[in-house]
Amino acid sequence: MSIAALKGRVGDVLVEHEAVDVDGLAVCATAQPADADGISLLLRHASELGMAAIPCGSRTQIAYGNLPQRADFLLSTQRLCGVDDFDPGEGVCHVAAGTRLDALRAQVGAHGWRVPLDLPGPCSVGGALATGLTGPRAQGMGLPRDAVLGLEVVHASGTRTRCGARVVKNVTGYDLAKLYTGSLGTLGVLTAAWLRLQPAPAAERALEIPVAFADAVQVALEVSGAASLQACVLSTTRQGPRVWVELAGDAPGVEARARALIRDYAAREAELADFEEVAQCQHGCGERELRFRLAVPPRQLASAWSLLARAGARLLAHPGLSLVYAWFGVDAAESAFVEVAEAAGAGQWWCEAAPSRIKQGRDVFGDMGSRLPLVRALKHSFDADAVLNPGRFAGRI
Amino acid sequence: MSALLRDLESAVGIGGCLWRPEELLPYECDGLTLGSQQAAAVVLPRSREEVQAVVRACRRHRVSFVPRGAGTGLSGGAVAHAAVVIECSRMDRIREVDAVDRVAVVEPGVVNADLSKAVVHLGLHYAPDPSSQLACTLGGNFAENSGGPHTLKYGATSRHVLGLELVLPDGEVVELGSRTGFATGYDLVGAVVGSEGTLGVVTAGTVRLTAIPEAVETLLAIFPDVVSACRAVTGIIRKGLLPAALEIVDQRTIRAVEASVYAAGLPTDAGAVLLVEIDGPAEDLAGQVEAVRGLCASEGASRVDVARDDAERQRFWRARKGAFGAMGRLAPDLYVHDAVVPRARLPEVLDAVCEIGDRYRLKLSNVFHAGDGNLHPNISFDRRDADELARVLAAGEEILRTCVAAGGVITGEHGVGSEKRDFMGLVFSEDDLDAMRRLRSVFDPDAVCNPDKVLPTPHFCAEANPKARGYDRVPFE
Repeated sequence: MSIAALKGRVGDVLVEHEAVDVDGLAVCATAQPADADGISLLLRHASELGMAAIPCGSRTQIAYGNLPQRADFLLSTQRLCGVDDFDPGEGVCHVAAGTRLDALRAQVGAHGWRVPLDLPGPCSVGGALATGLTGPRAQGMGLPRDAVLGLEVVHASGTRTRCGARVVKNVTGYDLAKLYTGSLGTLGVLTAAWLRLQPAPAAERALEIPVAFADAVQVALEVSGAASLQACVLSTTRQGPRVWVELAGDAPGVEARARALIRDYAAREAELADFEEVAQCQHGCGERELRFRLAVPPRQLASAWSLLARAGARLLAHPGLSLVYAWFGVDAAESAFVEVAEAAGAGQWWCEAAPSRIKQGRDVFGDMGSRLPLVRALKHSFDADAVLNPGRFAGRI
Repeated sequence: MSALLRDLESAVGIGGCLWRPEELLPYECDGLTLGSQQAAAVVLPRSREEVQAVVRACRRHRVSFVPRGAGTGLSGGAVAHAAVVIECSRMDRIREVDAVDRVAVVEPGVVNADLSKAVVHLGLHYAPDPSSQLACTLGGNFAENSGGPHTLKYGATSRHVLGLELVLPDGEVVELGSRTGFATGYDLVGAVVGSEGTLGVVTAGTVRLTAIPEAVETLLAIFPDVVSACRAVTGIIRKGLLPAALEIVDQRTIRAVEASVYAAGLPTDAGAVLLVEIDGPAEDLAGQVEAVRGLCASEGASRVDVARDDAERQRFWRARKGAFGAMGRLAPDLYVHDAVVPRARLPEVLDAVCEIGDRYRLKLSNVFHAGDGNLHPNISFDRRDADELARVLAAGEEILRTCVAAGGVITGEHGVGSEKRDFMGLVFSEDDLDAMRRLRSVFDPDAVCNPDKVLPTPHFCAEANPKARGYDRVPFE
């Protein structure tokens, strides 16, 4: 159904009619309500008319997920923008979902705080929380789920709800914020969040450790356990595998740890920008590539790494987070899914990026095991008519 | 013997089923002793299979059930009228410790402190440390998303639980989460931790083990009053320091502690003490100690001592950890209240809380997790005095309203249970609560698992209803 059917009913909604490709589905309109009330009104009418919407922020992760079952429009939170409550003495902020991470970082950074969401600057806060994705700094900063104190949500029916609060410790009622974080907008559209900020570290340093392939995982795991370590990335380059570390904290501790790594592992100083470049690699994926993420416990990391390398994958790992990223060419797609499932073993895997034709007929979120009935029932309980992002999440719900 | 009891005995064996009135007495309440509820029976399963058999027996007989750990909870969450209590203390095995993966797989009856003891030789510990950690069980911690003094830096239980084995209210078993903490689909571990035993019975948990910090410094600052101690806390947070713990003990508590076996040598004329623990890389601590010392002095601390050794550190902590035990000297009963406010509002809220206590003529003292803004106004009273009990409840409600008005919430770590169920409306709208009901109905569509906890009956107005909460019956009598 065309979004034109909603004309005149939903107030101040900007609509762009340029088609956007979402995994092979041309979505013909993008609705941009001015605020959460606008999203509520829009969803209420859209659900009454049996329409489906794909919630989005900056669209930097729009290709993440299963093929959409259907979509009448993209529902953008981009106009919900800005920080409306930030007390530098408290270290928490209330931020609208469409706010870009770089804008938020700049605003709180000026007062000595940092945002514990490690995704590229153009990502929106809502997108970062809806996908639940993270970069390697989650090792030091924690996962997105830990940064969220409260969320404001618009459900498929248009009902607006809130969970959590602005305080840093809270067990008042069910922790629905955990459920919504990483749910890809399938239970509701995130419109604002209370985030717990962290003190910005006084010192940061990056180091690079050349390693032999056979020792790479072992060294990376050893190094990952170090104090003051904010992030660790194991990368493979033409020059061979490298362990990259980013230290953060008070200057004396960072300095001492850097000296120890130089002494014990022949680490070399690197620029923070170089570390950033390596950290960003996890987001890249060529048009003729598939990118997988595997969560593998440390004990199985070396064998998973070797198996994937033998299968011809290009590799990156965040050993301290138990995450491995593997890229395969599209020509090897069939065997890639088999190799990845084998490498993951009892762990988990996701196909984070792939051409649409490869996603056809597959669940890119891997196997949910005994959880699947609960996940389906939750989706039904919150969005029985499958208005929000139908088909895209785990279990193709 | 009823058919239900026969089925329960068949599920857990004769020694594992308690039903005589005198056997049920210890289960009439948990750590909240304001009232009592009489269970139909108490079962003590030894395995997941026995839990499943109990749950299925309850379903057959259309009886509700309530999971229970050590019963140290403080919100009346582990009691129920005419329901079967599933007491998990016999499921107390640490199934696995893996120092490489830094995880432990535990059964729900493992005592919190025992897990850290079992892994200390590996240089690891289990970080969440509720004050009751010598008695409380991990199953109870999962249910309540328990905190503790070190939550400030290390986070509450939820941050440390990677996976759960859960017996659903229909008797089926589901594995949630994973050994790495990453799992596809919704974050069901995040939803179940803190659900107060209303979504099923946890029969095992995979928890994260954390490296014991390289170095620790513990400071004890003496303040003329509790408000200036609170100001020091907000100053420390504003400065961007992140201590492992920031705890305040007020004068009434100090006096009770110093008169008890927990005496720590604190000056009884001090208005309040602030306990600050800093941990991390050894090289960083000297600078942080000086920064904290300076901030405390600027807020009026008359003295700031740094523990010289582990024995002195333990002495400092005795004042904090012995506080609840020492309160037993003041009155027969203790109501440990729990609410959270934004940290910057602590000074004014503390003032208001003390004023409420005075106005209701109550013995109110404060010992709390100041760094988290998590207040614990403790009211010492005698539950046999109906007038005093009524004043305790009225003051408790007023404290909650004060905290909510300051931007806070009604519980930071003790849970809603039956104690605060009817005050949920102070914090959440009916639509907010409906969203919570949707979650609950997915796990427990027939509302048989720990009924009447957490969520108020729809459209229940926020009003104290002592009878509905069982406060008209005195436990153990």
